[in-house]
Amino acid sequence: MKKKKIFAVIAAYNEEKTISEVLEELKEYVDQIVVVDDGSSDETFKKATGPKVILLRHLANLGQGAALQTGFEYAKRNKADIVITYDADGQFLACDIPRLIKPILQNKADIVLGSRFLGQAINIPPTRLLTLKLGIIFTFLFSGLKLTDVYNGLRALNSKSLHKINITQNRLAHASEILDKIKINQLRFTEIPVTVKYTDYSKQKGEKNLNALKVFVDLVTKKLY
Amino acid sequence: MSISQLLLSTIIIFIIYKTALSFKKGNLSKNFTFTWLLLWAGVLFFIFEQNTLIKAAHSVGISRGVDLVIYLSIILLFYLVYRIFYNLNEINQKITKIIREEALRHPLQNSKVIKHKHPKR
Repeated sequence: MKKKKIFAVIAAYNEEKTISEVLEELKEYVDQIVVVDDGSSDETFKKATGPKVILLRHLANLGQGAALQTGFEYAKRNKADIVITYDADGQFLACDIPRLIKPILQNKADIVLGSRFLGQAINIPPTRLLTLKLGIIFTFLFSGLKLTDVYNGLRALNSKSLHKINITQNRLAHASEILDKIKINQLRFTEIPVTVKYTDYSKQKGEKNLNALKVFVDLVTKKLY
Repeated sequence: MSISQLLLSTIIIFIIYKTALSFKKGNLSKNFTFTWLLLWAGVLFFIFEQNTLIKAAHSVGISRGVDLVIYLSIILLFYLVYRIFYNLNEINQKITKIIREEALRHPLQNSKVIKHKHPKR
């Protein structure tokens, strides 16, 4: 059987403190790491180097959704078989990747979503936990998908999903948009337990609870226009 | 002529004058200028023909002429906000496309630009 070409796509915005470590951990699990520097004002682009690393630089900050779509475009043009989306802040464990891609390799799913609530959410702040639980209900009402975790950045897509999912939400609402497109395109999906560890850095860098409101506004305005 | 009529008509004449000036300089399209001037000419007309305004209000079940003006203004403002959001969204999409294509055109490996391995779309 032909070996699958596995790409990891990382959207990075001002991640100079963690990016090197993340790339080091990731390189043994994938064939290519596509880092999209989303207009960082720090040294992220200098630190994003390595034998398997390709760096794409946005001239201005567009948002995580736009950066992921840029990575997806690169992966499509370079004929990736599986694409993993991965965060640059060091919250994920690279050792979860083999389990994440297994359902795709076995042709049991088109897209695999990591779930911290099936796995572990280490040191998760209570307010974040509440926001995520509300997000699960909101997603069920909006897209009809019954999931255990909705804003987890660790996912794996096969090439069919990669071609079907075109992210148009530039900012954080892309996570909901991906779920919407799973439903619209009737993609086979499954959830896999993963570990998400909240560090002081990731908590400071990560999504603020108020962002949930921004996501809601983005989703509604996108539906209108 | 009341003070309010004088004040409002002065403002409207100033708006019409500035619009005509902008059109002459080529900053405004013919369609926009026509619609914009028609709108303000209509407002000017109703300032002096308040009985017509009241009749128009009554014909749609509104008791006061000024209420009709307020309702129409709110509808117009809603429409304009919608258009602005729509245009912003379009501009945003275009900027995203340009930045994305630029990033894809110059992939870097170890800080060096690598040659295209893929056909340009």
